[in-house]
Amino acid sequence: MKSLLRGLVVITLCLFVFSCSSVNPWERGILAKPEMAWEPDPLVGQLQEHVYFSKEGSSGGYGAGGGGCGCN
Amino acid sequence: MSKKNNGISPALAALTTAAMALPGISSTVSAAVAANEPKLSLQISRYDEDSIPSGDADPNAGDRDRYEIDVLQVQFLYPVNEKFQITTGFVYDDMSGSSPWFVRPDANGDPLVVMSGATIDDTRYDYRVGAQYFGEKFTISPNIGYSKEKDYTAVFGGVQVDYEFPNKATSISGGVSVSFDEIDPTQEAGVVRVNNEDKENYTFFGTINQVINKHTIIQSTIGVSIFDGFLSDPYKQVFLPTGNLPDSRPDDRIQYTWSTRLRRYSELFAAAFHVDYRFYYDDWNVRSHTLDLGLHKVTESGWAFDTSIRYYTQTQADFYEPFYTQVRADGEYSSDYRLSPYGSIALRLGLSETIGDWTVKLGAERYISDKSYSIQSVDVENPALLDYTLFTFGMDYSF
Repeated sequence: MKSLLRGLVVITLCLFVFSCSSVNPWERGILAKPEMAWEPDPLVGQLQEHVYFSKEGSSGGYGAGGGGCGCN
Repeated sequence: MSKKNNGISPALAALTTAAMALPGISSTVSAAVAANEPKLSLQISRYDEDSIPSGDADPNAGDRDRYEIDVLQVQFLYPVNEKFQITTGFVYDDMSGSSPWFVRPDANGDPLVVMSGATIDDTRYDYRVGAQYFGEKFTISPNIGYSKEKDYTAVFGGVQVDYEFPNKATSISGGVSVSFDEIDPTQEAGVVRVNNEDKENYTFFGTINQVINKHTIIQSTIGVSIFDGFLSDPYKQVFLPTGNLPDSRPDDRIQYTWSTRLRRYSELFAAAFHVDYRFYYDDWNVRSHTLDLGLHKVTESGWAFDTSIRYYTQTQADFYEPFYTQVRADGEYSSDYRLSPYGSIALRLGLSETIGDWTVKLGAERYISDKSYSIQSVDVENPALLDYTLFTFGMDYSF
């Protein structure tokens, strides 16, 4: 498991360090498409995160969280 | 201007400015400007947990029907000017159903879940307000919120700061959030429960966003979350041969997460591929892996389609057992299925159409969990593992 995790970290770092090519602002039309957003539908994402947060043993990972709940 | 842009013509520079003003830029590539227009979003959802199978539940106790929740979400985004916008949100949950109470062994030593004796009816109100200030280099986003149920109150807030490097291809973010929660459990005759308890949560995170090329972006986040206070579930018990005991967990917990998200646009499919991965570890010794693969496509006629599959697996907490055969020296007990070892698979579909200022959206999700989906071998499956179906219907209106 640890070797798998180390491998994923290395792959991510390689993507950051070696794969970047210069992209001019006027070449970013595709990156600006709505389907490229980190969270294409905020309300659906908010609902799913709340369900996973309250029904699974682990949570978080994508920034700040909200409050807890009495979900059981 | 042409000198500053290394020979780029004024027309190209104007196109650059226009490209940077595209709303999608702010959510993916860099912090930029406020939204162009106010937007009202509304969504209603039905969350429906499968009943506990008859062979897994104590036939003489409780109701096998689990939670059904109707959810209303409303969000309003209002750009005050190009540098400042406000978002307000409201969530209303209407909940009913039974929940797992404890797990006991049957005559063969196999686990049976005992459900809560009566249907639980509750509501939850969640109010949030956030703001975003878009500076020359920094974007600052504070937010506060309040959540209220019959027996649970949470007050929370946080702030995030984004910085974009001059190359316009890299940005970093950092933030902190806090939550102060209070639980006042509903009391029941003959059941020992705490009266009033509280807990606090502090979360810190750092993120880097990087443009890889004109089709690919990546984001990686490291987070730490600290919980302190009453972290047990007052409505759950554990089985011991000498008599049941209340669910009793440590009063602190530190969670660590590392998540990475990739977005890659395919010209061939005219669609975006999403890959999200999260590694989680905490000091209760729960480790989890979450992998989410998605395809999102938007057509020129205004239709949008998305589908994704999510795989999740976790290990058990140190002190978890489906039921106990002897007293633990540390006094820590929980048979909560959420702290058990298991895996789950979720399939999601979404469809939407935009006509003029209106967008209408439909979505569905099916979630199933099982010990066989776990990345580790599981000897005894918790009989309360969760399966559910979620339907959503939403509308957006841009003013």
